[in-house]
Amino acid sequence: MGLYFFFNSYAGMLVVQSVLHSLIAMVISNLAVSAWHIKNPVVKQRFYFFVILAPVFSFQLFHALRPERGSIAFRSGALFDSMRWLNLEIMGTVPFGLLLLLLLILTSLIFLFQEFLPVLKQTFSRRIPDMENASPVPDFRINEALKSLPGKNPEVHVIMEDDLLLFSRVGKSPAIFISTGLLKGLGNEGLRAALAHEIAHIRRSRRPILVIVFILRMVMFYNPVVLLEFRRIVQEEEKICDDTSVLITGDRPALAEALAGFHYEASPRSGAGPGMSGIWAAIEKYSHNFLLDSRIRRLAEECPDGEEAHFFKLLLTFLAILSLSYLVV
Amino acid sequence: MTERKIYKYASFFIMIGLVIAGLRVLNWVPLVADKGLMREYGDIGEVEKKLSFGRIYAPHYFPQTFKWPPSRVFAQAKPFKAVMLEFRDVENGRTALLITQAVSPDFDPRGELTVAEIKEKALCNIKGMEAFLEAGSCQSPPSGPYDIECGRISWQYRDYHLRVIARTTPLELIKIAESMVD
Repeated sequence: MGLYFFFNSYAGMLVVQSVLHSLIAMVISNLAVSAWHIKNPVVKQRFYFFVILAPVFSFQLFHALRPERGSIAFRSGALFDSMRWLNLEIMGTVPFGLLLLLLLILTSLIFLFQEFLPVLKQTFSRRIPDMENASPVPDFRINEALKSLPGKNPEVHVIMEDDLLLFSRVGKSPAIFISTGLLKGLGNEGLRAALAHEIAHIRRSRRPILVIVFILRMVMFYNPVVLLEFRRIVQEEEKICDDTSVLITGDRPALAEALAGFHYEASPRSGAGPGMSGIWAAIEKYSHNFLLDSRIRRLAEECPDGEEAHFFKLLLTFLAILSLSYLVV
Repeated sequence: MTERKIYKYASFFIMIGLVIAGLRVLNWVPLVADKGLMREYGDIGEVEKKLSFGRIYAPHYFPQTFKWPPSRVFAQAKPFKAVMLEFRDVENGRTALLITQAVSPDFDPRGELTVAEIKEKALCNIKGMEAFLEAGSCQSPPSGPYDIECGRISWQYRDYHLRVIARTTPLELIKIAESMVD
């Protein structure tokens, strides 16, 4: 009975409906992307933002507009009443509500250990191991690659490591970090494309919308749909930077070649241990390669469509999400 | 607008229609799977029969301004037995009386009629049973205007916790409550 009263309370309704509303937003934004054949990752990302944005305010807004929205009478006429499923018992013993609660706890733990604590650790840690040995070493190949890229470019630091590492530091003093292992493995054109990709990350990090999305994602720490969607937005971000890299260098095959170098088979870290850790490592390796392959395929096949003229579609999608969410309690 | 564009917009709306249909089906499945979940019934007799509810305590004293029979009847057997009767005002059709009967005293139907402002609280006697009376003003619907006379009375009777909320005077409220029990 405790579960029943939790899900019937204001806090319980807020939690359940925010999950359901993000699910509705995810389904509708995906349908919109599919119906209008949207391929440009910048535009796709805008549609996916709704999945994180909508559940943050939807319940409070609807509740303020119509306080009786949580009533039995309103629920009975709704499009979808979550209480029916939450009270439904599997084999007459375990209610679905308990399963949802376990899923919310699991999602919160994943957020805590995979996202929040690492970010916190990185923010407050004075020394970052990989960056420790890095210095802006004058490297002929890097200098040549940077010279051919337009605009003011960040410093490039070389890390003395055989692993394939390439990442950037954003903020006041942006920099790109590249390992000697990767430097050896990349051709001149591949190196230029990879650096252009990182420069795109640095330039895009100045956009406040991404910071806002991350903050909203943190507010929805318990929401499994937001967890998945945020990761998808991050993947779209990679594609956006791929496109920017191609736009700067005009060389698709070079970036595809650079990406192919990041396959786990080619990395010394690819070995998976026994037991559960081995299974997790294998899953991680598979998903890493799968996402990498999709980016490589995309570079070979697609020319992204324009960014313009999507305002009306975005508005229509947003209204559809709000209308349906209102009737999902 | 080109034919291709119309096709894309049409496909979006068709997909939305399919989502709505899917939600309706998902909303209906639990009701089929479990007969004891909260749902609307045609009348009090149907609840007593289908849920083996025992007796539903409907009032015998009924002010003429309220419309009989109840406009809506909701009931559940799981996770605990509960029933809600909603009566409307004869003149304006707004919810004027809400009666709940539940095993748990915490059952809150969050109905169309809620006591928004309590001006007086008192313990009173309903045929030898102690009841808690609150008088004040209500809102119906909760986002609507305040009503002047409104009250709520609740008490424990046999296995159930009974609660009456009505847009009427405290005296009338007590009369309604007394007519519900033996």
